[in-house]
Amino acid sequence: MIRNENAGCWVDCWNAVLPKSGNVPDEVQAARWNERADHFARNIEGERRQKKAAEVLAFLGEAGFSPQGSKILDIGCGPGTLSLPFARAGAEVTSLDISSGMLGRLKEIAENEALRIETLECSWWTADIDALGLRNRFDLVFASSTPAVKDVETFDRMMACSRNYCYYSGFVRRNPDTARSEMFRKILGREEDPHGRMTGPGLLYPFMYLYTMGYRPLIRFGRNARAREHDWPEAAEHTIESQGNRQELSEESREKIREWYKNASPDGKYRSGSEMFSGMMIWNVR
Amino acid sequence: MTQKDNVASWIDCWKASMGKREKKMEVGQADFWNKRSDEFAQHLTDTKGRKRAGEILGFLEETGFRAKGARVLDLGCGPGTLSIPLARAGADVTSLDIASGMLDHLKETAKKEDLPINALECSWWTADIDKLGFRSRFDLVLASMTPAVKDVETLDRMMACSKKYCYYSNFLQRGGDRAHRELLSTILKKGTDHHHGPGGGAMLYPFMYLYLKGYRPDVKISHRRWKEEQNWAEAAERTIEFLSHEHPCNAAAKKKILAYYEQAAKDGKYRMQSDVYTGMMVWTVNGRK
Repeated sequence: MIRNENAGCWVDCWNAVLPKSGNVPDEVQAARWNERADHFARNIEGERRQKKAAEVLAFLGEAGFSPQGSKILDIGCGPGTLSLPFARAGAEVTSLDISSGMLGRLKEIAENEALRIETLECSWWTADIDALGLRNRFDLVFASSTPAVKDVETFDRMMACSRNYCYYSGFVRRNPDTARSEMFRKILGREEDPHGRMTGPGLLYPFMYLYTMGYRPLIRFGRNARAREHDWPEAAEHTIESQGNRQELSEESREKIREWYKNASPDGKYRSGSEMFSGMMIWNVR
Repeated sequence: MTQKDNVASWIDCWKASMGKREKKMEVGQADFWNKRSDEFAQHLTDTKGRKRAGEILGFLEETGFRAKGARVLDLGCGPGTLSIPLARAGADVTSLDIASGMLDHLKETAKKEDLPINALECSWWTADIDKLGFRSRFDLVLASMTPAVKDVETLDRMMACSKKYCYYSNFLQRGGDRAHRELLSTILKKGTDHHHGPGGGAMLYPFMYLYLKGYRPDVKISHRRWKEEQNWAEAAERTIEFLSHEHPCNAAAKKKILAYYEQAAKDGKYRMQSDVYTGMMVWTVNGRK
């Protein structure tokens, strides 16, 4: 991998867009994901996840990758949305996640079906790939919409583990939920902070990094307008928590936010209607 | 999914990225640029402006373009930042801009030096390239840091005028002056997208459009720290005008903005500083892979 002057300049540009306050300690991250593990695992065999898995496998196939007999590293694997289909298709999978809750579900299913899945509870941000013996060991290193790969360092680390293919996917843009934006204006007296809302061309940072180094990834974009449902207290706490990183909210504002979500959820469920643009790409490291 | 769907998804994403700013700028656009023409013209002769133009011409040469005897179309040419050096190097240049004030500066220089420059006052957003006789007529079509090329339609139109090279540059990231960020959040109570700054990531949208269509442009990224010293009242007025594109400022907000600059100034001068990343790219219109 040659990082020329042009790529170096791009790295500076990428670094400059990353939030400076984004370094949450590993144990806090792990706790957050553990809390969400149930929610994530609930629909593991659901239709939407299965469709997504089929799409990804077809895309990998287009690039010439076949899971049969291959070694795969799945970074930020969650409950195994892709690890499981990979293993079922004959791959030997190392599934890495920061959350023991997520890995617990995955292990259970892997054991039931006697799949070749090894789980690894580990933060990718601080992972030592040499100590873990991951360097240059996989035919595919896979990172699908995960905060585990968040900057140049974690991206380089990902590539260093592959001897063949890498796959990366992420948001390009998320158009905010209009109702939620209105709540921000009314209660907090300002626009919703776009930092956390991914308005920017996120995926294009790693893409352009690869391009300036001479890689020509296969890339695919899609839009996804999906309504998501959450219990209103969960939605409210999520908003309060995400704002807490930015400024301390008064108890009064917190209460108002909870009140707003409650009123916006007549049957107890808050439905957000954000539209997402995302992209997936695959390239060969050699 | 077919390749066509893939490009279409990207076009939708590009459209969604364009805020209200583009729409509002339509009103009185020529005015907006006419006001800046004197200031822009200064960069024609200063060292920094010359150095930047030299870098662009060097990059064009690296990709194989030769100015001598070439027909060039310069979109949103301004006071001739690139038109003039290209004409001096032997190109026959058609320079298009919406602002007559910019073109006046250009014409003056062209006349003085007897350069082969044809200046054309015209909006690229609504230009009819067949009527203008531009289709497939130029060896190089340039769109350097200009809002003239703002979407798929205006980019396709640009490419349709070239029989060989195209050059496009835009911001990748503009940190924005600290004052803009502070004013937006404290006085106007708006969230600021200082990740990308105004016009953030702008270059990536046309780049990815080309990539998906099979082009592989030569890309060059550059970074500069932009510093400028200004009379504080002037700086405040400019900020008010700039912010007004997206966020209308009422009288009270204007007053606060003026007070902010007065306080931040030293010896009556306000020093602004921001980090700017830009991307330039060159591709050939029949060079798909």
